[in-house]
Amino acid sequence: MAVKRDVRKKLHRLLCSRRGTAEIIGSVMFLLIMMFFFTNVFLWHDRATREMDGVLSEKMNSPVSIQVVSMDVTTKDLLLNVTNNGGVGVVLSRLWIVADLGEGQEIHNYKDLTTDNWIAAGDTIPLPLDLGDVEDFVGKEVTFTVVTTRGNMAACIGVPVQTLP
Amino acid sequence: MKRLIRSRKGLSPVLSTVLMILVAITGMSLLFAFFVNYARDFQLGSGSAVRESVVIEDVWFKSPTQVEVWVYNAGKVEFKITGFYVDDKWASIDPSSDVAVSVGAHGKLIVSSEFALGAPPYNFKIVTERGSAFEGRYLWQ
Repeated sequence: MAVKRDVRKKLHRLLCSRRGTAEIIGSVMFLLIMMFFFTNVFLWHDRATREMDGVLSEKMNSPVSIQVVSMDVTTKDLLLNVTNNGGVGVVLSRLWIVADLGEGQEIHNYKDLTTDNWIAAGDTIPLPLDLGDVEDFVGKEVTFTVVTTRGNMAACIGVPVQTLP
Repeated sequence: MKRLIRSRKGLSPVLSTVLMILVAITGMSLLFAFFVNYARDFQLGSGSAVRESVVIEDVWFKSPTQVEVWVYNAGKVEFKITGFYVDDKWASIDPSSDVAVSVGAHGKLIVSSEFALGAPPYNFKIVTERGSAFEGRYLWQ
C-alpha cells in the first residue's frame, strides 16, 4: 500500500512539474522544422525515382524487332520491316547501317528517322531504304540496327544483291 | 505617460527579447538559404543521377587504339560524360567528342585506348558527371 502511494505521489509530481517543458517543446519544433526542410528533398527524389521506374517500365514493354524484306539494288527494292512487339507505342529514332567489308574493315553509317516512324503496339511498319544507303555494299554483309526513342534496339543482317537484267 | 516613457524599468527584458527574436530570425534565414542551395545543388547534381539513362547504340573499332562510340540519351536529364573505361582501364576521350548530350539526342565519342585492342570482347564503361556508370561488352569482328 505504501509503495502504491509512493508511486502515485511520484507520478503526480512528474505530471505536475513543468521542468524541462521548454526543452521538449524546443526539440519537437526543431524536429518539425528539419522535417519541413528534408521532406522537400525526399519527395523530389521519390518522384524522380518513380518517373524513371515508369521510363524503364515503358522501355521494357516496347521491344522491337527488324526484318529484311528486300535487298535488291537493281530494282531499288530496298525494304526493312520494323515490328513493335510490346504493349506501348514506339517512335524510331535512328537506323544504323554497318557494312562488314572483311579483314576487320567496317563502315558505320546512320540515318536519322523522323517522328512519323511511330509504331502502335503490335504493329509492323515498312522502313524503306534509299539506294545510296546500300549500293556500295553489294554482296557484303550489312547489319541494320534500329534505335527507338526509349533506347531499345534491334538488329538484323542483310546482303544487298544486284540481279542481272 | 511621461513617467512611463522616461522610466528605464523593464528595459533589459524588452531589449533581450527583441535581440533574441532578431538572432532567431537571422539564424533561421541563414539555415533556410543554406537549405535552398543544398536542395537545388542536390536536384541538379547527384540527385538527378537517377534520371540519367545512356544507351550505347554503336561501337566502331576504327584502329587498334581508337574506337568511335555513339551514345543516345534515353533519360530525363542532360548528361555529361567525364570518364570512359575499357576493361576497367582509363581511356581518353577526344576533345572533339560530344560529351554533353541533351535529352533525346545522340552523341559521338572518339575514345583512345592506351593499349592495343584485339579480338576479345571488351567491357566499355561510361561514367557521367553525376556519377552514373553504364556498361556494355563489345567485340571487334
